[in-house]
Order: sequence, then structure tokens, then C-alpha cells
Amino acid sequence: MILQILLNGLIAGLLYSLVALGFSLIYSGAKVFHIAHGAIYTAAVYLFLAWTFIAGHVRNGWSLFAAIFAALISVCLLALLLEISVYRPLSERRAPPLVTFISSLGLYIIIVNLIALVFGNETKILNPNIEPTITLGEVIITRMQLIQLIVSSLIILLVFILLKQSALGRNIRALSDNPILVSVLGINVKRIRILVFMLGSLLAASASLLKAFDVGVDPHVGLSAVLTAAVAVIIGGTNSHLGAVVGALLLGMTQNLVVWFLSAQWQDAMTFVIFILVLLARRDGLLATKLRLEER
Amino acid sequence: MNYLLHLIVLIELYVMLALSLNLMVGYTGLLTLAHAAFYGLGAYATTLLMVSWGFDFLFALILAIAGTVLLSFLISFASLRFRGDYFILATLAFQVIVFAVLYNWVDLTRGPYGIPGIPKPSIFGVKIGSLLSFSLFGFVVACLIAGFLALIFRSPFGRTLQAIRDDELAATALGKNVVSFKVRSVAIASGCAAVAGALYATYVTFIDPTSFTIDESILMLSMVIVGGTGNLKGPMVGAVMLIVLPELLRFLAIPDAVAANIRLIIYGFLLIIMMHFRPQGLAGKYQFE
Amino acid sequence: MALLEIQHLAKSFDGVKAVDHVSFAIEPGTITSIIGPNGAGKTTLFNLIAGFLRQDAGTINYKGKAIDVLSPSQRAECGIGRLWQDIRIFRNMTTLENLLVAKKNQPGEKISNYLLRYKNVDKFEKQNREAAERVIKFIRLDHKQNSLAQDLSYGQQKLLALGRLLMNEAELLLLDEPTAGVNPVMIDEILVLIQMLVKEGKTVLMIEHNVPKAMSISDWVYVMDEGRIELHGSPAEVSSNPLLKEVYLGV
Repeated sequence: MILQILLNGLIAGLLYSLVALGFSLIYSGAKVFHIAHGAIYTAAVYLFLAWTFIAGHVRNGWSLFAAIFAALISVCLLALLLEISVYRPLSERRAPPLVTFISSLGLYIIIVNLIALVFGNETKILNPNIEPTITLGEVIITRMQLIQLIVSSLIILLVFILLKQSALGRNIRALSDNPILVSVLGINVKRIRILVFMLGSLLAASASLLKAFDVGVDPHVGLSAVLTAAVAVIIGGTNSHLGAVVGALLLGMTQNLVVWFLSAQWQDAMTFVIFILVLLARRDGLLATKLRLEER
Repeated sequence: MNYLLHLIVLIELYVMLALSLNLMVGYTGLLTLAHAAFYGLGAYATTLLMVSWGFDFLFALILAIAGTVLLSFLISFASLRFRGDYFILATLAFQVIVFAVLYNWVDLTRGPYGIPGIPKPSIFGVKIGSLLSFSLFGFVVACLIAGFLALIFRSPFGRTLQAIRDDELAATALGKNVVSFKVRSVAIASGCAAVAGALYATYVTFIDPTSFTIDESILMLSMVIVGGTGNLKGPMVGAVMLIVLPELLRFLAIPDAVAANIRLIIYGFLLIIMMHFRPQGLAGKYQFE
Repeated sequence: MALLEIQHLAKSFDGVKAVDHVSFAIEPGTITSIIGPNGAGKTTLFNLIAGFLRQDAGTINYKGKAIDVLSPSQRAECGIGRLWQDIRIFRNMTTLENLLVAKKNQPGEKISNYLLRYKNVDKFEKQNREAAERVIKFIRLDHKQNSLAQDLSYGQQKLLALGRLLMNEAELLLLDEPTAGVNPVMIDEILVLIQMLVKEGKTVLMIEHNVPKAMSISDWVYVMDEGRIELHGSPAEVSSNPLLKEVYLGV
């Protein structure tokens, strides 16, 4: 039994990791507490639904992938829109973080409610079939869960390789460390910010799509997702992407333990109890490097 | 006429909520998403005390205020030691947890089924039954709370809060016990929100957790941000504006099902527009730093 | 008895020794300057004395008592005052309000007092106001008393910050680069103000980069580099010491 819980927890944690990694990239790269990340998370699935509607219906494997691809492109465009219309102007005016946060909140509200307006508030199921399962000893894993496990692990690995090895990755890390120096060195900050938002949003989108094919979607799933991601980033230490992943895995595991021992209703509450407990114990998060007094 | 009185009662409630939120946000610099939680706690406490234990309104109100203030110490303890953006997240946490408790602890709160049959308030034997008398009663209560908060805003306590808002380190170096001030600010704000909650419960005579969600906190925050922070008239302007504006939607014959979504979309746009063009709000004094 | 005495104070960050076993004593009624190159650990030293950082080793005694366990606000209550490099005035409050708020232990800060014992609060406020008006004349900002602090010039903000310390009745003033970033006339104004404060019985410990100006009003000078005190003495002794050039220019 406990192995089953741990497996479910691991998979849930990996999905959270995608969202948390995206959030972390945007938080450190663009210095935005991007609560609208949750709106993009939600929007990704609904954009997919919109594309399948436009295409008629999903006829075969290829049109499924085409719709997913179209949805991901749309998500990138949406991220681009948000950065150009709201975040960049605020950043250029050196708006205080609180102002940016409130604007992000406004964006979240608008997007989520637009989705609810167009698609309705009910849960939509993407995959009405019962998933085939594999039994490995004591644990059962569905096909969808296996896909989630493999795809999310691959994506996380790819992102870390990207960050470490590629020029873009270096630029993103430089931007996180010292935005002023980066612009002085002639690197196109605007371009990197856009790419950061797109990358982060793609991560959120992949998580929500993977999840939606499993349990469906409703307009309000994004808030819980972004909050869990934010908590994961904070308890992992805000200047560590690996910390975000670790935090997310931790939350995924604990959430599933809670679901088993209590009920699903207490999941979100549990996330926050952990949040508060971890911060009370280690003020800067688990994996953070210490910040100077003035940076706090 | 009834419709107008109903609007007036709503304005009275939200003036109390916006002004008390302003104490935290505009005067102490504590952006919070948990105000609806205190509102809800006040409503539920008053309701349970009156319905399940048969207490009369005034007694229930006093206990509800006390209970909410005590719980506010819990949130203060857990989150005031955190830096700025973490504090906001902690208040969000509190909001989510309170909602989860109200929704899931069915034995106590009847969860999503809500609690019907809340009696109208009766003060020293005088029952406040009609809409007109309730709106007058609400006016008196709102004036009391607004007056109390105005005193606090103008007091040396309020002045020190502003110093803490502007520069916590400098305030500390002048000898101010910053945590103590913040805790008291949260306590007062929560107590006033609880009063509004009690009034709300006895006005609508049926409450359920869906009136006290994060959307509600966002509405209150929007009132303070749009109307203005850091003074007395800003939040009042915001409360009136954000009550009246959505009601105008009614005249556009928008179906109820989508009205809620459209209203929220308007709030979202207002927040963005305000932050972009006028961060100090329409009638406020303080601009977010 | 020395007003402030620190012994073997040490603080490291990730292996870098910001303050490396520093010891000295400050006598009351004196002006002491700490000079040295950037990154020498001077501001860290101030943070340790004021209580914003916890030291790794060593002790801090103020008025003969150990203050190591006291929080920053508690140390401020004892009489330690701080002027930051980036000033830190209360930007959204007026000049007068900045001064009024600086008084310690105001009865009106307790809500019960304000509501129930209003007479006391009112009396204190009147005295507070009178004191503030005297200080504002002293720092020559009376014409700006209702301006928002953020609308003052940089030099005026510095004067306001000093005025705040006066209102706060701080006895040991930790001034971090009081003359940085202001025009030459203002520099002298600030130095005169500092000397007048000392005449009133205050004690000043200041970090300064303007070495000649600092030397001109100091009783004692410490030269810090890489967390250690390399040199100290009277201004005359220090300025004639060849080691000084070495420390600053690294030659």
C-alpha cells in the first residue's frame, strides 16, 4: 500500500515539478511573482480543446499531436502577450514587486474567468476511456501515469541540460544573477525575458496537459497548481531550480499521504501547512544559498 | 426602493471591510489575501453561537470578534516573520485553510450545505427585522467601525504603522517593536472584518462557505487598490465603486450565470489598469513601494 | 567607562571573513571615524553593533552591559542610533511626521492608552510636537515641514535622518557615510551638525570615505581592511603613517 502511495506521490510530484520549474525560471529570470502562471496552466488545456474543436474532432494519433502542438504554440503566444503588454512595461518603469504581483493577479482573474465564460465551470474530461494498467508486484500503474512519469522526467532532464549547457541557459542564469550586468554586456534582455516566459509557460502547459488527460480539467485547477508551485519554489529555496524540483516532489509525496490518511479535500490546506512549517524551520528554504541582509 | 436599501447595506458591509483591510495594506504595508477568511470566521462564529447555542446577537458578536482576533494571532505568528512576498503567500495559505475547514468540517459548519435560519439581530429587546431598520442599523455599525478606524489611522500608533510600512529596518533602528505593531494591526483588521461578517450573516440569514472564498478577498483588495490606500476616503470610494459598478451590469440584462465571471473580469482589468496608471488608487494617498 | 566596547568580534559569510576579530572601545562624547577601502567590513561591523546581524564570535558591551542577546529594536531603546548609507527616511510621510514618529516609547503607540487615557497621550504629543519643531529648526528644514520626505533633496534627507536620531535621543550614533553624495557646502553643514550633537553629549562612530573631512573632526581614527583593524590612532598619527597608503591603494 505504501509503495502505491509513494508511486502516486512521485508522479504527482513530477507534474508539480514541471509547474514549479516554470515558475522558478520566471521568478528568478524575470523577477516576477507570476501568479498568472496558474492561468496559463489552465489555458493550455482549454486551448487544446479549442483546437480539437476547430479541427473537427480528433481522428487519429496525428491529429491529437497536432492539436497538442497547436496548443503549445498558442501558450507561447499567450505568454508573449502577457510579457509585452503587462510585465515588460512594469519592469521598464521599475515598478515595485507588489505592483507587479497585483497586476499578475489581475491577469490571472481575467484569463480564468474568460475561460469559464466561454467553456463553462464544469469539469471537462479529455479521455473518457478506462486506462489500461500494468501491475508490478504490489503497485498498479495506469498507462497514463506511465506516460506522465516518463514525459515529465524527460522534460525536467532536458531543461536542466538546457540550463547548464546551452547559450540560452547561460543567458537565463546570468539574467537571474545580475540583470543590469547582462544588459550592459549587450545581451538582448528583452529577448531572453520572452524566452524565459515561453519556456516557463511550456513547462506549465505540459504539466496541465499530462494531468488533464488523466483526470480532466476545470477553470479553477490553475490556482491550486500555481500555489503548490510557488510553495515548492519557496521551500526549495528561491535561488535554486533544483530546489524547486525537490520541493515539488516533497509536496507531491506528502499530498498523497494526506489523501490516503485524511481526504482529498485537505490537500491544498496541507500544502500550506508544510509551507509554513518549512519556513519556520529554515527561513530561506531548504536548498537556498544565504542571502545578504539587504537582499531579504 | 428595496433594491436601493439592499445596495446600501452592501456598501455598509464593504466600507467596513475595505477600511479594515486598508489598515493592513495601506497603513502597515501588509498585502493580504486572507481578509475574506476573517469575514467568514466572524460570520460563522456569530451564526453558530446564535443558531446552535442560542446566544443573542450582541453576545455572539463579542465572542465572534474575540475568536477571530485570537485566530489572527495564529496567522500572525506563522507568517509575520517572513519576508514580503512570502507573507502574501502565507495569507493565501490561511485563506485556503480556513475555507477548507469551513467546507469540510461538516459536523461543525454543515459544510457546503450551509447554515440556514439565522435570526435577525435583536438589540436590547428591539428586533431589527425590516430591511429599512437593518440598513439604519448597518449604518450605525459602519459609522462606529469607520470612526474607530479613523481614530486608529490618526493616532501615534497609526503613524508608527506608516513608518513600518515605509521602512521596516529604519523603524526597528528607532526602537519600534515591529512585530508587535504588525500583530496589532492584523488583530484590529480581523476584528472589524468579523463585525462585518456578523452583520452579513444576520442580513442574509443563510450562509455557506462559498461567500468567503479567495474571490471575495480579491474583491476587497480591489476596492482598496482601486479606491486608494493610506487614507480614509480611498477605501470608501473603492467600496462604493465596486458595489455600484457590477450592479450596473444588471441593467445590461446579462444572465446571472455569466455575471459573476464578467464581474471578476472587470475587477481583473481594474487591478491591472490601476497598477499601470495610478498605483495610489483613485482617491488614495499611498503608492505601493 | 567606555560607552561601547567590542572584543574579538568576528563574522564570516560563506567562508569570507567580513569582520575578523575586531576589538576597540569608544569613549563617550567622542567622534571616532572608521575608514578603509570598500569591502573592508565596516558596514558589517555596524550591523553587528546595531544587532541586525549575529556575530560568530566576540562580545559587544554597551554602557558596561553585554548587549549580544538584545534585538535591534531593544538596542535602539538602549540608545544606539543608526544612519544608513541609503538614508532610509520614511518616504511617504512628511518631514515633520518623520521626526514625530522617531520619539521612543510614545504612550499613543499603545491603543489602550490612546482610547482610554487620551489626556496623557495628548500631553505627550504636544511636547513631542514642540521638540520636533525645535529639531526641524535646528536642521533648517522648517520650510519643508509638510513636504513628503521623498520630495526632499538627498542632502535634506540626510539632515532629516540626523534629526530623527536627535528626536530618538540616541546616545551612540552609528553614522554610515554621513557625507556621501552631497555637495561640499552640505558636507560642512553635516559635519558642523555632528560636532554640535557631540557637544550635546552624544557619541559618534562614523564610517567615512571622505578621509580628510573625517579626520578634521575626529578624535580617533580606525583603519579597517579585510575585516581587521590595520591601524589606529589620532588623526595626525594615522595620516602621517605610511601604512595608510598601503591599505587604501594596496601598494
